[in-house]
Amino acid sequence: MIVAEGLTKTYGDIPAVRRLDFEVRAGEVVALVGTSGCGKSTTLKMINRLIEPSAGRILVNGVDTASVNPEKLRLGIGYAIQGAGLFPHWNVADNIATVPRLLGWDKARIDRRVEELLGLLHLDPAIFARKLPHQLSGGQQQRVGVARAIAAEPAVLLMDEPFGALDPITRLRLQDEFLSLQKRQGITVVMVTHDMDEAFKMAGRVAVMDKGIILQFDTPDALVRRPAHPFVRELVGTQDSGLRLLSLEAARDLASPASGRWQIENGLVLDRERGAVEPVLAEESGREAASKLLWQGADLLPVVDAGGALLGEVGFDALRRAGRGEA
Amino acid sequence: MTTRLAGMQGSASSKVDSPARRLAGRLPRLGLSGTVALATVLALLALPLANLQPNRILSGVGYRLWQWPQPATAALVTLVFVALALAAGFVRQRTASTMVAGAGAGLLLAAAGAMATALLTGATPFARVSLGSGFWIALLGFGLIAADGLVKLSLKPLTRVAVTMLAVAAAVAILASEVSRNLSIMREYRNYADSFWAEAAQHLVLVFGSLVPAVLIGIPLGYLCHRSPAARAAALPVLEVVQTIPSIAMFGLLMAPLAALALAFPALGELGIRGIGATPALIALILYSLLPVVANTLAGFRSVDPAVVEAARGMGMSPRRRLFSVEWPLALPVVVTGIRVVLVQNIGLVAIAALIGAGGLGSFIFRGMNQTAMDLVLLGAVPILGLALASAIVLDAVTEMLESRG
Amino acid sequence: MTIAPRHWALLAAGLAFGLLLFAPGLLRPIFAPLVQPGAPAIYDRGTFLELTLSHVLTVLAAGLVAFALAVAFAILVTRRSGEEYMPLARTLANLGQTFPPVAMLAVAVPLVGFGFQPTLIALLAYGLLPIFENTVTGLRTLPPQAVEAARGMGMSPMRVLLSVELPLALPLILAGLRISTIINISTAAIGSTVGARGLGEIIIAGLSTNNVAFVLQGGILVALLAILFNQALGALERRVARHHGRV
Repeated sequence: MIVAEGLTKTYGDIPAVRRLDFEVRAGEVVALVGTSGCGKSTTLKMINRLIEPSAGRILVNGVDTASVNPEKLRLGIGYAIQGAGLFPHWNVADNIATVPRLLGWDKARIDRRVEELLGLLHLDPAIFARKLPHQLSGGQQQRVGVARAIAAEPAVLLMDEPFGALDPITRLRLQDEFLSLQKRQGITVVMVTHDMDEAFKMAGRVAVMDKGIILQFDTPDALVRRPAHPFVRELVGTQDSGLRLLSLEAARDLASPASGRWQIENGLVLDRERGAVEPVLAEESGREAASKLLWQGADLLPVVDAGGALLGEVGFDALRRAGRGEA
Repeated sequence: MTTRLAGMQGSASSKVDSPARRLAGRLPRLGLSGTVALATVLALLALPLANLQPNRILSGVGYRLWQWPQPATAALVTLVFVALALAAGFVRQRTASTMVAGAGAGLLLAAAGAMATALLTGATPFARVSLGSGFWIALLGFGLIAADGLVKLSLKPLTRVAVTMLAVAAAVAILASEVSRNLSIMREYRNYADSFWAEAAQHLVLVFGSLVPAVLIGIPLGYLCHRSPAARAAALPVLEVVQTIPSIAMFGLLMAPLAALALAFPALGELGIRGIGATPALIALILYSLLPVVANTLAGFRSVDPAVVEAARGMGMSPRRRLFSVEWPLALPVVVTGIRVVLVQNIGLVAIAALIGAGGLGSFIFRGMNQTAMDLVLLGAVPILGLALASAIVLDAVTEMLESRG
Repeated sequence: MTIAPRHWALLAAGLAFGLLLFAPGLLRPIFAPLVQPGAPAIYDRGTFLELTLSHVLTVLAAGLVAFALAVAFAILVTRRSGEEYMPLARTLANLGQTFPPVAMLAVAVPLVGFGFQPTLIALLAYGLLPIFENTVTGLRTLPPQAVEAARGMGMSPMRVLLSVELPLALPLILAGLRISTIINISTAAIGSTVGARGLGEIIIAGLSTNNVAFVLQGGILVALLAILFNQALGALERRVARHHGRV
């Protein structure tokens, strides 16, 4: 989908990005992480030519981006940034319609698309379509920013710290919403973040950058278990690598078949020994399962699916194995 | 720690008990409009509403409101205006107090006219009645209470413009009516009725004749300064120095070269290019107008959030479209603020251009000063003030409407 | 050491100003061709030095009073107890800035007569406004942490004002002083039309006797005076701003 070959950017004599080669596959989410000044934003912006590479090239769908008019290129690539950068003098609907209008879509199609996107991002079109950006909360602005970026159904979406300016709760909620949206639309995403938790949660593969080069480009699991460089180990954090590994596993995969201990009545899950308990949801991570076990003082909890049906049970034994990478 | 706490408690309790505080607690709170209203009453009682002059030039004797020739009328008008001022100042209902203040201003003008008629009965044909200091200060008082009320009512921009227009129309109607015919300023108007409207038109021609070219040059220049640091470094200091030069000096400095030009090329002289008159005035005014337009255009473009511009670029907008559909609309309110500055500034500067023979309402001011005929001075100054105030209010409303869009 | 073009221009302006003030006779050959035969080529109803001094003194005297009043008012309306008067003060300041100086002069003459007084009224009014506006802005846009820290350390309100608020607002206050001074150099020149003594009278005399040389001399002197004052006060402002790290 996206292929970088020898991608380089220098400012005067100072190299910002040095001879990068990487590939992003269709439909995957890739995160570029690193400390500020490591070249991750520069790399991102070279993909849509907001910054022109000094050397090397980028192919999107096999086409060299340098051979396309930059504006035309960008019309086909979504772009969302921190703080959204909404046009303050246009209402929400007009903001979302920006690229479709540039592409010359007809009005009915634009209106349909705007309504659809607002619905997908949980913003009621009747309430929000005519509002101006300054009348929205930070989280709502960011939702509109994402909607605007994917309005024209781009195959590729670039995001530069898209959730960086939000409070932790709003950020988590938006990450979840975005992930389900991404899965449904099968969009290829390259995002820049300095938040490792965000990168691990969102991305299938993470590129750790430092001083203009990629130190390691691999799955979160591999980054934790086999850091290729001391800087990667430092960034991933050794003291909570157990928890990180847990957070990469879904409770569904950690569960063992249920014993006869659990009983479901009127949507309540009962432990024959202890009474009502709060079950672990199938989509929750091992880390969340651990938290629920600790909080409820239990050594074993039932795992249920979204419909409330019993799938199995999870306990500290399974978590211990997963935390050491033996799962 | 303990002593500090004790000390704090001590000071707090002494504050509560202080005699000054207790006294202040018992007095009714004057508030803002109350203070102005009391000052207005004071001015009406202590200062003359009108001056009776033996002729157009000699200064005369002041008559306060309560010195109206007929004692019964004197008592009545004094009561009415004290009541109006107090009502404007102390009525809590904002719409009511604002309307009372507006009415007070209008009635004051009418009362001054009526007093002039009363004072002139039996006087010589040369006698004149001009407006006294009490009139001006009370008018300012009523005006301030009304303006304060209007601000606090936070009317919509268009309503504000309508109210302004209404006030101007009311003032003109009162001045044009029979009541005001004996005021000295209206007698001056009748003497100069023909040239008054010609000079007023000339005033506007000079104001807009310099504003329009300044805007047409200034906005592109401002954008250039935004895009190119070199242009900025070259243009801004020069424009700043130009703005520093006092207007009267600027008019004078342009005289000599233009006169020399006309002498060297008689054809130019036939086109109206001379050392005196409208040409140097227009050139000077355009030069003055450039800095506010350029500086505000620059500030307007700079005020656009860089994230917004980056988003526009990232989505594939062409530079042209970015400029016209994103940057320019966002910069516009600040640009309009610059145009407001220029408009108000030019209305005043054109008055000075009368010194170099450019005409306009300023010519009444300077003619009046030469003849020491103060009401002729006012015939020029009052419309200039009105124009300046009205254009400031209208352009503020425009700016607000533009800002509320984004 | 290289000298920037700006400094060359300034140096030239200073030299020209000095020449006009102290040795106007040397310039007679330049101005002579501009006047009718027999008319004086250099203004002869007062020396340039004397007129400049009285112009500057008028501006400075009014400026000092205006400065003291404006800063005092601004402090008053930015205190808790004076808050209520802020809207009035703003309305007045706004209104005042819409009043053209020449109209202010014209309105003042009927009230106080010809001569120095109407000019003084106009100078006071226009001197007050920019300083007041800037001081209010300066006092209202202080970094809130600095004021809170000062209060938290137990400074009295007076101490906070004198050692934190005013020093931090100083660059803006000085900018107001500069604007006010430049406006007043101009207003004082117009004041000559109502009989105030100053450089404006050279221009007025030139206009009324059709003497282009007078008009030019007056124009150059007033323009240079304003430019030099602007540069000097601007330099002071930048120095203070640099000191405060608010460049």
